[in-house]
Amino acid sequence: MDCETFRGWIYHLQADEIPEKERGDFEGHLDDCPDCARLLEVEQGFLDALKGRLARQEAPPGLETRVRAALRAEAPDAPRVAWYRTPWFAATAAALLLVVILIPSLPTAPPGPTVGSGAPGQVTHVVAQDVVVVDLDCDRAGMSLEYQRDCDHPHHVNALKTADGRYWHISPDQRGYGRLVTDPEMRGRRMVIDGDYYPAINTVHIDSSRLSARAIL
Amino acid sequence: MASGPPHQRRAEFEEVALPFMDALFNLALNLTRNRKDAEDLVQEAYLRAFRFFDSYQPGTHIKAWLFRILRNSFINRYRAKKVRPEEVDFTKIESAYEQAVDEEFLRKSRPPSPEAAVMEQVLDEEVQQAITDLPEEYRSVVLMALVEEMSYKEIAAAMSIPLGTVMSRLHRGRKMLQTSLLEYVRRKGIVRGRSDVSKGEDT
Repeated sequence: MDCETFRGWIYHLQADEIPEKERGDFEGHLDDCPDCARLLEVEQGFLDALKGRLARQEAPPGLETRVRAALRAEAPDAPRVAWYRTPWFAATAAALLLVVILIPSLPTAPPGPTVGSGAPGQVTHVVAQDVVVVDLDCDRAGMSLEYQRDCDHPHHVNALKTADGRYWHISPDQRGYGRLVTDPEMRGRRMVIDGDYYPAINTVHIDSSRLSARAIL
Repeated sequence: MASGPPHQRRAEFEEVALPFMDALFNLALNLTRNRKDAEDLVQEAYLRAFRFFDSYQPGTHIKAWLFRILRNSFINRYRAKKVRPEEVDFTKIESAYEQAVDEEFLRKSRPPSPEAAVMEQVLDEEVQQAITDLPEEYRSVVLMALVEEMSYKEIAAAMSIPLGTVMSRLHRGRKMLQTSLLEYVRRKGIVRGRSDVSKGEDT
């Protein structure tokens, strides 16, 4: 190998990019040529010093955040499922809705002060304070008791409204209290009820033999 | 490469690509010579890379791939601004280099050795300026080789040029760099030129 060839490849020798099989030729030339050996020494010293001065500049701290934000804008995060859109919530909500829809059509349980017990669906003896006679349809529609007393709708019937807002139908065939079912004048009266509750038809039959139903107002 | 929903692809991309942000920024800074432009260029390159992430082949040099995208982004900007990259007359560089460092000078020089003298006397800013003064196609190759220590094969991939072109550009780029630095030093009177050496020998 001559000096010209060696010098033409000196940078590649430094970069370790000389094929292995040819490296021997270069090393052999270095042994024979002090000028080229010196040149390589100079170049290597220069290269090492240059690399030391060419420190890589670090990216500014905010750049990564900026790039990540740009990438996120390009490919947004997966839409996060809101808690109210999760399957379990939907199932729970559906169940609750079903209950709310069905409650009005279900037999209403007797009020708190019920006395007696029995299996579901069985007739129960009830005693209830502060039960008010109302026009069932008008009261459900939110009409006042004064309005209800003036209502002369032929198909409206009275019902008993308990302290916690439930409605009980009044048995029409009980002796002595027949007016309770249809008489508008009875609306707005507060009563203490003692009788039997028929859950299947949500109806109270006031026990006249005990004379437990009395007008308060 | 990646498949799946966009946010999943983004997560994969960030994992493999963002670790090279310093390297990309350094190259961008050397290309644009301006920190703000460099930041914009890095962001643009990352976005472009993400859009083409499907075409990236796992196992290949991702740094070279990212460099290629960044450099193409830079070139596109040049085209958009209709700015012509600087041209260089290599014959002048060659002769200047030969004048500054020749065989005889190297053999006769004694401590301080020329390489030590050069690098001790030039300032960091002057080294940076010498890099900056290189034409872009040489600057990129030199930076990839010297700073990033990439192999010729990686550089060829990053620059989309043949291996032989990498070799010639690196060779010429380094010579230009040395010439610039020697010129700085000569102006300061540290290193003598060829004629100075010959004159010293005669006496």
